[in-house]
Amino acid sequence: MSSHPISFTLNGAATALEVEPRWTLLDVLRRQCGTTGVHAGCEHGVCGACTIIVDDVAVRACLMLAPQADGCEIRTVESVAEPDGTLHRVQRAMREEFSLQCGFCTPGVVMTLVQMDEAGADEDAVVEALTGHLCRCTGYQGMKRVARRLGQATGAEDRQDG
Amino acid sequence: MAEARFTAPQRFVGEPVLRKEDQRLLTGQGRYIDDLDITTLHVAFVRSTVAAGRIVSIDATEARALPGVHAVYTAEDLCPGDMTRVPYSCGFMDSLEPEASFLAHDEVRYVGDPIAVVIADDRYIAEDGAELVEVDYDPIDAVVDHLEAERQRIVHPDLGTNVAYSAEPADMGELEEIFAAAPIVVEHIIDQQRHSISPMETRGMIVVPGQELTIHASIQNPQFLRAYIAKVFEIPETSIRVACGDVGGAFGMKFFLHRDELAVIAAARRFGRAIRWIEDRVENLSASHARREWGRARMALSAEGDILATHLDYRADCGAYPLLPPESNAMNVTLMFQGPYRIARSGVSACMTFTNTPPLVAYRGPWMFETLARESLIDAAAERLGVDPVAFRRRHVIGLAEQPFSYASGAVLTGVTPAEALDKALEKLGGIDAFREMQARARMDGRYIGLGTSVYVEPTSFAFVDFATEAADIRIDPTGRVEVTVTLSSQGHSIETTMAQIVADELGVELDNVVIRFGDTALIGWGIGASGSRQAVIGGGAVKRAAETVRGQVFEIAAHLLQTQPEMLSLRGGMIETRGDGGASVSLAEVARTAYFGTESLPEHINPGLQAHNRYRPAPITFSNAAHFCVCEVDIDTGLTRILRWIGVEDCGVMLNPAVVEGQIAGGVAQGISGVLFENAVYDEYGNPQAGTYKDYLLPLITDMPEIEFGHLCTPSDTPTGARGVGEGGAIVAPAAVVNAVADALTPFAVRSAILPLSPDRLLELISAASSAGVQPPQH
Ligand code: FES
Ligand code: FES
Repeated sequence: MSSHPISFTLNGAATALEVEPRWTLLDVLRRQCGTTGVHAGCEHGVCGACTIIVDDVAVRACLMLAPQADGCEIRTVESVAEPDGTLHRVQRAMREEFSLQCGFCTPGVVMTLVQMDEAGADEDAVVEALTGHLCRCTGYQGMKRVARRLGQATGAEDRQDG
Repeated sequence: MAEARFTAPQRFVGEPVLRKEDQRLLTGQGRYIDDLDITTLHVAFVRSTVAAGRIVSIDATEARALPGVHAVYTAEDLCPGDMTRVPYSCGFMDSLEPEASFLAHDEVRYVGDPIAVVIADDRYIAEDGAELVEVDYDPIDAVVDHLEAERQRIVHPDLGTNVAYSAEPADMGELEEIFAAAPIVVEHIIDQQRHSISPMETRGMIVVPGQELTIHASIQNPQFLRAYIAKVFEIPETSIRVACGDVGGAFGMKFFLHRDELAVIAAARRFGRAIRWIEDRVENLSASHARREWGRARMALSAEGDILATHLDYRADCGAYPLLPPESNAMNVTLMFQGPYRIARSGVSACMTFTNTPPLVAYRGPWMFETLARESLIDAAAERLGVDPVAFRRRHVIGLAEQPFSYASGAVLTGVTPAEALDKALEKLGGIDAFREMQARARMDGRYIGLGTSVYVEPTSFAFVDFATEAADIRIDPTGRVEVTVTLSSQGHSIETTMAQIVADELGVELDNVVIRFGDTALIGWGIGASGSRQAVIGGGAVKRAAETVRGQVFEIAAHLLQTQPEMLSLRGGMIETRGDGGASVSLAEVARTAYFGTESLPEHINPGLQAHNRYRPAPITFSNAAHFCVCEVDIDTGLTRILRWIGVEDCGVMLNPAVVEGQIAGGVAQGISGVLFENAVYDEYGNPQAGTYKDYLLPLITDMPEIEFGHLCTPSDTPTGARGVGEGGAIVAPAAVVNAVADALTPFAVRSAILPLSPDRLLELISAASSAGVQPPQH
């Protein structure tokens, strides 16, 4: 197999590596970069477990080939909390609303929520974004409460009514 | 002293304390099987592409020659000699077991049947290699429809039958006489589609061969599986270590080892180096199945509407190599079919057959068909009698005051509250009349809203034979921190939190000072782990008792230090105090230090250290129960069903953590709702899976789920924690509520169907068939 040099910024750190053109970004993040918080749930773009933020947009790492990430700025779940472990407000909301059980879908959900939070999305938009995530454990009860909480916090000004 | 132990103030048990698991899981620091940083080669499988066929030849020459491929193993390599007798269903019951090997060697029996193991530098190359393996089949007719299986080609010629298990009630003759003489007999057909279990993390395994065979796997039960692996490979258990880290859901699928997992172990032993197999989603969706069941349920009634008898003709598809022992499931369906009702006679005839489909495995409440069948039969009966189904249930449902209550099957119900739960749910609903008025108004507007009820009793925490016990080790270290090791395991069960709540209360420490460890045979001995809603009851019981013992040890040493008697002491906030105002006190840390480093100062009769082990066995079954209401709306133009409201009132005894309890129920309810409306692991007539990806196998999304309105009755069980099992109940009780709600919504069309799934296309078909048969909704 031919290998290609690529470089990107991963969680703030410049990263350069050699990849084969057919490797998915998901596999490269997990195997070459050690960011195993990026989970492989389906590898065909449906479950959302592999969600990361590339150039400020939440995307599915399983649907990108590694060479496509060349020059990009990538954020994974490992970058969300403070270095001392203090949780980001979306992580805190997830915890306080009991929105995870096994935790396998969780990193992807966190990344979508981070992007929604940064975009100041309202509750409906957050719920809409979360339709891109499959969770087999929770019946989404906690995630619904998180969406409401984030929607109230971030979208408060432009909400005319409930 | 015994009394002092029981006065531990409850600070954590019963509270929705935040989960200890979450910090790592939210930050990407979970350690699931494929996250383990162990240098390995990678495995991909060659799998059958036909449902039934004789293997003519397997040619792996090209694959073996591919750079990066290290080995290709077929059955001949991994099962030399007569290795055809793998006790593949873990053999804990007397199942009729066909001959089997890890890999198909003469015949393939389902699409996905493992044929060869390819070991390569990475997964990409392993899959390239697998594609290069040429398998020639002589196809044979596949047995796909389990209802026809009895009359079709024999799937396992060595058994001479496709019937894996069958049974009739002992009093079948008398039952038939009751039905023959009954003034009213209601009959109802239930046909449940095949489900794929689909935990979000697929299966996976890392095997490190060597003097000690080390197996890391995504499983529910390291100790149980170690015993099984030892049996299969005929090596001592003590030479094997089985461990699991974080597990991304299991729901029963990961309770047994499939044949492909045994093949990975065999391959690693043969290859002599560490290998890793991570199942992909396509493999996972067709690796095994559950819920492919059919029933003809009947109820005999007197003219006054008394239930004289019920009977269920139960048929289930075991697939080619059932991992869930067929008779265990049939026995549980039989045990529980009577449900929470006064019914004079009740029986189940069961027939479970082999087919050319993937193995039957356990799936959250594997016997749930009893509730689906009974609760939808009850609605059919109420309709025939012209009474409201909720009123009909209230007339027959058993309440706490009537117990112990003997079932027709001989089982004895105690401590359950189905009548009370139904009443509480009704209260939350706002009463039947108000609902019926709203329903009628909606119909005037062309909206079809329905109410579905489901009431059930669940046998949780099976505790007999090898399932009898769980164990806990608790030690307080010399600094006063508490380490607890349990035989339980977690795939999202929150046991790091709930078990810590029990211990923290008992030992008067903060939750942060308690660490719960599990999931490794190197840590602790025999246990079953996650199965049958047993962890809080049996594991919690062991944890509580061990903590009580350690508490006693703390009091002994503290009493010595404080020059008093243990009975005079109480323990809280990390301090041991003598009762009464101004009493002396000593810190737990000081007691712990003394227990290890100040042992010279202790009198002879006090053992050094603070440590206890407990192995706990409760009564054979601890029952729990629930009553759920589903309010749904069916759009008669699109056939789409939307859940508008969901009310669930359960009794799981003492709730260790109500948020965890509600989480367990919600997850089960979601699986139940989507089991009725969405999921369908379809196989075509040749046995080819038609739902191979998440594009075809539909799981519910956040917008498909209602926000559940919970109610809790908390009738303590007769166990140390007072808990009753709650892990599976949502999945058992929910489907019937949905089926009944849809039928109720479509009453104007006289559509009542338990032929699942109730997908939009099917509902449209039923509505249009009803319309063309002249059934019209009221004009408005
Ligand atoms: S793994 Fe990428 S969407 Fe499922
Ligand atoms: S928490 Fe298990 S899949 Fe979402």
